[in-house]
Amino acid sequence: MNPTLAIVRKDLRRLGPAAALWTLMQAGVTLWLRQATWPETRPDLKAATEWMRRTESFVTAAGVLMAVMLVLLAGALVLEDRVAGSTSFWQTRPIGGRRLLGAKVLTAVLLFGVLPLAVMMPVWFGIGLTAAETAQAAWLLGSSIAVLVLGALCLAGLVRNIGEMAFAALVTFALTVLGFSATGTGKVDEAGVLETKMYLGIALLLAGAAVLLLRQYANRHTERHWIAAVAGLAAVIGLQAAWRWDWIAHLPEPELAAADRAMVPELRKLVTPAEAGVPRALFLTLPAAAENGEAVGPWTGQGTLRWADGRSAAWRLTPGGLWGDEAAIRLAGVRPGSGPLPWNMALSFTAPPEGAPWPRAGEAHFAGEIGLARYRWQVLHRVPVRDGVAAANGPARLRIIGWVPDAPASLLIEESDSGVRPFGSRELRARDPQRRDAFLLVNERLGIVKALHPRDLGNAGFSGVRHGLRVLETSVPRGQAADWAEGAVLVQVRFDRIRSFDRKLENVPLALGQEEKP
Amino acid sequence: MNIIETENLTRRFGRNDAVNGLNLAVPEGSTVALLGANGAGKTTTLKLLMNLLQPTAGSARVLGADSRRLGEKEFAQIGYVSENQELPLWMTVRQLLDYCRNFYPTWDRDLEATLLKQFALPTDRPLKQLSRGMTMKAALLSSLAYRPKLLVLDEPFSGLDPLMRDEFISGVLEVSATGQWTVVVSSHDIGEVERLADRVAMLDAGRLRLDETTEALLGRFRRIEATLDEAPAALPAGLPTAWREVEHAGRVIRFVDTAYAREATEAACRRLFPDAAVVAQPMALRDIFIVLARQARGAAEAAA
Repeated sequence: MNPTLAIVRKDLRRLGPAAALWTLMQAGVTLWLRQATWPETRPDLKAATEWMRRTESFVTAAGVLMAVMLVLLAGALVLEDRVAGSTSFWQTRPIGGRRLLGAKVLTAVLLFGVLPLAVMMPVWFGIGLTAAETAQAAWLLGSSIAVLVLGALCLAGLVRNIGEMAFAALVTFALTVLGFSATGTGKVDEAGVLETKMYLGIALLLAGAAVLLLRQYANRHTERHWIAAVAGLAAVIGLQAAWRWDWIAHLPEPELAAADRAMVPELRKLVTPAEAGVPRALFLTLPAAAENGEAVGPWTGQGTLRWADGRSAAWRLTPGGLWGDEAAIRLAGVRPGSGPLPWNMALSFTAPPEGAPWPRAGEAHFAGEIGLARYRWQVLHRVPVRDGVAAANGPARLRIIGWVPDAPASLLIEESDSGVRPFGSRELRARDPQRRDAFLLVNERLGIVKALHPRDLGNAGFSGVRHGLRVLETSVPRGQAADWAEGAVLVQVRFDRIRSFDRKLENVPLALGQEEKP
Repeated sequence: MNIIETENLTRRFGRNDAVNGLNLAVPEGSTVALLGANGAGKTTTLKLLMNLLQPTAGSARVLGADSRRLGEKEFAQIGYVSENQELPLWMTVRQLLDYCRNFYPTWDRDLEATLLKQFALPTDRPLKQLSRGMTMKAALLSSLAYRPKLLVLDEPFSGLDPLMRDEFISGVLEVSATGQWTVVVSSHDIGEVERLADRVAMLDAGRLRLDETTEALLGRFRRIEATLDEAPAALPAGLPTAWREVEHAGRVIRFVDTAYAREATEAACRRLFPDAAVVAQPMALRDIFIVLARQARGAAEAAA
């Protein structure tokens, strides 16, 4: 047998059972979360919140445990043929460092790449993920594993036993977190800086780990490599503290398709209370209607608001509570219409204008950028509003638990869905908007459509599965909720991001308007 | 041709010279015993030769290659067994042999079977369940079955009982008798090494104190006992410098002649002790080593 394959086979025999157990735990937690359901039928918010908190804690603990196990398993793979020191079996056998590293990498790919994905693929398909969603889940799980395994392989190459490995991993993790936490002042105009240095730091750490791993296997200069590792980590942390440049802003924008270009938004109206000079919400319209189940909408924005008297304030736009409701009403055909799609964005100031009284909004100009996304939208559920009613659409499942006995009238719902969050972590992608849902209460008998404001009670995600409880708040007076519910339908419209791009705004004058609610 | 050559080989740990300017040559086909007290530098020397440590200064060549560049080609011709070496203890003997076989084109399955039978190793038990002696024999087997040109044994007898030592040495002797193998064995268990080695190198404080054939070494060391008619008041002046550990008790004077030559030694005795009855006794390697070690320690104390 080829010597490299002999090493691989030996390591598979040694670590295969543990890696299989790890994989089964991964699948087990995923399936457990998939079938998890709040056991109560009464819409008791306190009990629901407590159950959701416990579920989140369990899933988080499982994610941490899985990550720790993975790091130790990858470390054990290296320590099976220890590189540091001078007493390892392989060091006096015809096994070169490069051959050994190649064997270890191949084994790692098989144990921590092929095996988990081979087990998880049927799980993902089984819970209803599409091929594209499964591919994305595989990519995100695989990349998360790769990052952890690469770091673990690098560390394990420098230590003599699993105890040292655990200690080194803990210290490295703590230093890295501290280093990455040493971010700027939190000013909104530093968002790009933060992202730039975060991705730069991760890239440098991974590249450094890869180089260190190669060098250590090539010449086993353990002491020198420890010095290099500590110096490298310190340099990355120092870079985190000192970095002040936004490279992401200078990245070339994704080439806009003609359809996207036609949908570039225009600021049409600023909605602001008449008595206050500072706007609190922004009402955007996109000139083109949706087509082929896709629509362009805003998801973020940042910049500066300048008044005629020279004062200015830094601003940030986030999807407001009623962000896509009006658009959803139109797109879902609940209330057909024509013309531009309306979107609501909440406006917040990270650096408010100085002095009082504040100038009137109508005298101001916007400058900055708006993050846009092209969304694929679909009516996910259309269910009658009755306690205990459940619906399913692909991987998405919804259960109406019931009206919460509080004012204003709120509907408690439970959702189980696909949501790609390996180990519960956020997606590793710059400026990635979250999937967004709009909820509508439609009562054709009364001829009324009401947008519901969703508020998460909790949300547990693990390896492609998401489970959550939400309260949908309405403006319906509590006493009228029963009337409203009779014959009403809950419509959930989902917006899934396809791609995102930025739109620069330069001195956009703001029209003063009356406060409007969609 | 020399299988191993070192030139001013030096390795420092902090301020300590574990190996200091070592110049050593190991001819092909020889069995060299590397002797020395604990901390003399034996293991460090072997690790430098095996590229397990990097020299601080100097160089070494093993099988014609720079020791720092030893690769798969060279290690395919080297067998290394050390008391400190970590073995994959979770493997059975059979699994260990099956695993090792993949790395050696010259692996001899007949020799493997012969050694397996000779060493009486249970093939289906994990190494961690075997005694230390059995484990060392398994390591030796995995290092002999491909007929290495160079066999390096680092303190192979540590922790072995006498029976196991005998079997271990027999194994090495029998196999080495079948080919032109070069063996380097480090040990402070000199009694066992004496059976193996045809050449002896002695290290002290990282320095090479002695390097010669076992035959010559045994030939030039004698324990001399001179019995006089009357007890002398003092030892005579002008004793040869080669005489070590000179002592007298009553009428008997004892010393170790480190440059024994029958006629010259008898002549010197007749000159210094004219009426004495002189008896020269051969010395075991172990006793020679003790004399040399004491001599080295005395020199070190004098230097300090």
